[in-house]
Amino acid sequence: MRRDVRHTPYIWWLVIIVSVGISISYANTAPKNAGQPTEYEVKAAFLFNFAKFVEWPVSALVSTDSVLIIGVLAPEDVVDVFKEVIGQKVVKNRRILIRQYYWYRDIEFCHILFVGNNESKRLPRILNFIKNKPILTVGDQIEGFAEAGGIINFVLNDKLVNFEINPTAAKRLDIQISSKLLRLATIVDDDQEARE
Amino acid sequence: MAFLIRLTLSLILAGIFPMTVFGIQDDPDSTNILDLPIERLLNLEVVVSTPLKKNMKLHEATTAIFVLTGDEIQRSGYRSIPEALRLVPGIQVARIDANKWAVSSRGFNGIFTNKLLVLIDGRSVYTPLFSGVFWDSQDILMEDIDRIEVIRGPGASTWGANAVNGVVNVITKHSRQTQNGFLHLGFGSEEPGFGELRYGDKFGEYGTYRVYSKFNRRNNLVRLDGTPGADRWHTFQNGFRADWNISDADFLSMQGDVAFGTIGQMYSVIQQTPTLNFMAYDGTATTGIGNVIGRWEHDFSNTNNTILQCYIDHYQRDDVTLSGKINTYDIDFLHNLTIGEYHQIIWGTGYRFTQDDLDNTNVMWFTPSAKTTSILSMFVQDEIKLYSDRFHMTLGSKFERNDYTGWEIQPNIRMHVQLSRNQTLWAAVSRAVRTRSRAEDGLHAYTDVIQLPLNHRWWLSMNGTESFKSEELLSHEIGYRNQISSRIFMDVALFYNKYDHLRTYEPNAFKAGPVGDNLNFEIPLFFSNNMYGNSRGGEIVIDFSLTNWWRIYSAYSYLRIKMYLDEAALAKNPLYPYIKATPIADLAKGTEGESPRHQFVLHQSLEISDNLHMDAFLRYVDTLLKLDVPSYINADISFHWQYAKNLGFSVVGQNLLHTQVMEWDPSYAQISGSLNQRGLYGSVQWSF
Repeated sequence: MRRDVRHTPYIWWLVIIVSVGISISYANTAPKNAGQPTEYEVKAAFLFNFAKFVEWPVSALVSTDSVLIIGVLAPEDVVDVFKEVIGQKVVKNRRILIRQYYWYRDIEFCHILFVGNNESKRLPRILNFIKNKPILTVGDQIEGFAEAGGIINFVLNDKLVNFEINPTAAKRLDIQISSKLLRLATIVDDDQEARE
Repeated sequence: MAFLIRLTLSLILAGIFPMTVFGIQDDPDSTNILDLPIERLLNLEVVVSTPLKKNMKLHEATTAIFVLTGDEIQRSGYRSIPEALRLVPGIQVARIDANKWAVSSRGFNGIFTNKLLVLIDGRSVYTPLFSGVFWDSQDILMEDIDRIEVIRGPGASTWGANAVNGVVNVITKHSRQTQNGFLHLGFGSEEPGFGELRYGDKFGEYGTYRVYSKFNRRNNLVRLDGTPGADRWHTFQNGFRADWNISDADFLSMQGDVAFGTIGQMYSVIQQTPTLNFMAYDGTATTGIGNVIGRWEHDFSNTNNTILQCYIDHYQRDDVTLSGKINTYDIDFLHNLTIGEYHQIIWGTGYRFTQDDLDNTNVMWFTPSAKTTSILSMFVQDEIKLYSDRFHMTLGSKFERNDYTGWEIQPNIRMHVQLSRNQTLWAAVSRAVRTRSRAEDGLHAYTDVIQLPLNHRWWLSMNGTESFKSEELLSHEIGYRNQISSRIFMDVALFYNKYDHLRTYEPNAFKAGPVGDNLNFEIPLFFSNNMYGNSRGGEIVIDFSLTNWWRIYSAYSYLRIKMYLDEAALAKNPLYPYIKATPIADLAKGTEGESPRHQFVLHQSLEISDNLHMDAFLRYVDTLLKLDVPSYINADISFHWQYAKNLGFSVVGQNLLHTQVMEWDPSYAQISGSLNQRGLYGSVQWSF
């Protein structure tokens, strides 16, 4: 004979969870996050600062008049945040232009290239495509970014956005990174150089 | 007791509630962040939108999933996969002896746990022999683990039969992340020496690879009666992985391992030489494994990609109880695509071919001794956005044909509601089955002896049968996740599982006859499906980062199993009354009492300074009633000191609260288990 089981405890739990959840959601809604920037807002601010603390070789600058192009190889929503926070802002007398690339072969000249995490498996091809061009590559939490030859990589340290810099890769392209930026970063070595 | 739990839970939740209301408020200066100095940006807490790898799956997931990151595993100092799984809520882990583990998800634990699917990089390490895992033969370079994803509850609609109560997915790092050299050497009281060497490099313009070699030695533990054990666990393993970005849209990976094990065994088995008798046996099993996996990923676009994976796996074991080899050939195809705005479809198909060749031993034999089986499977899943982005529904099913029970259909339906930016609610109903294993089909082994009238010892034997049906599960789950503040994350999952056709044993004859010069009295027991019941419980995880350098993670799991024998069906068997009084028939109580009702883990992760980390673990496991294993609390502590960028030292203490602790008593399975012991080891890591 099959006995039906009592459902009471199960329902008990449910009631607790849902009611607490709903109360939390009320407590959480409006005021929360108001003062707290989102991850990509802060990353945009970092890109702005990178532009401030990095000197490109002259060759990279003559080609364009007074703009600083940030190429973004990442999903739409990331691009939207970047456009909102730093698009058209002026740094070192240059107006920032955000340009989205849907495909790495579309990458044309840019000063900074932001490589989204979703592109990580294609990284070797991307870096090879822009090889020897004076582009400051910025990876979005891509593990092994520096080892593959990228220059700056964001890392998320709990809730803090930090970054790593591979100075040897920058040096190869004649990109000068200010000592201030280097001091704030975790320095990672580009293995090719280290081994040679 | 139940009331107590409810009360505790309410208190925990009630404690969280005020925290969210009056809790940590971050400074609200929302002045343009571009005006902030860069030093300030580094210390600015953000609302994480594309979550960490740890939480990546959690946001969207409509399952009770838990992710252990490689970093957490490394910091824990645990040196095997089962040990790392102790940190996962809803998973039961008990060390049976130095080389044997009982690992299960949401109950039904045992040496031969058969409701948990384990995969390493997409390769099933679940043996078709008894639908369990030979944990003594699964090893990996712990530093190569990218993450371990654990799904509690059925994953059958995508993973297939046997993913009944859970799926453990071990995923290793891309070889790009393991470049250059790495050496890890250590030794300690329970680990008399281990070494790991890895080297990674590039090949061509778009390829990277790594090769590794490792050895592990683990000391004998102490038997349950306090005498020294003979259960050492020595392994030697080598492997490689290569990843190659062959074109803009094609990614190729190859990997493989070869391993050898020398594994101490302590049995008290019943054997036939020529009459039946008990044999106490301390010996050694040797194992050999080898596998090669090839994987080809092709992207048609960002929302449309395919994966083709093939592997060959070889397993060989030479033991007094079980000897033989198993070869598995597997091919799987998966296609991910988004259709229009609302449908995200995954479908796939696979074929697995298994060949075994088993030697008859004096203890057990299989009929036939060599068998070839195949599994053909298909699955399709559609994730539908129903109402803006906030409400998703997933419908899916697996269709699988195996040689034992024919077609099995395992559907599920899942819902996901985004209540607010920080919280989600999900619910699911799914069906899963566990199909007949090789043992349930054709095993013959003596398992026990009982005293019946006639004044003779009657030997009980376990026999496979072609009438064994699949075990069935209908699972109901509900879950809730809340990123309460930027520092507190909570995850709650509740389940109610209904099982049917669970395994039982029934006699079908009395056999008495001469074997050599002696008389043998035997009651052959055959597998049948006359148990049913339910389990319910839940897990709650609270992850609290008090500061940037201090994190407290806690997980509580509750589990209650209720099993019933289908007495009406059993009564039809005229011989059943004879074994009814014996422990072997006490399956319902057995199943209920093999899993702890309460489990608790408290993990503190502390960055004492920039280069000194400490991780401390406190674990509570409730009584195992059936096995008379008392509840215990134990602690592990791991210190890591990064002396230089490429040189680090670790000191790890394990099972610190007891010199010896019993975690499991396997004596009913004719294995004489061990007490787990306090251990201390030190190691040095050098990157070059």
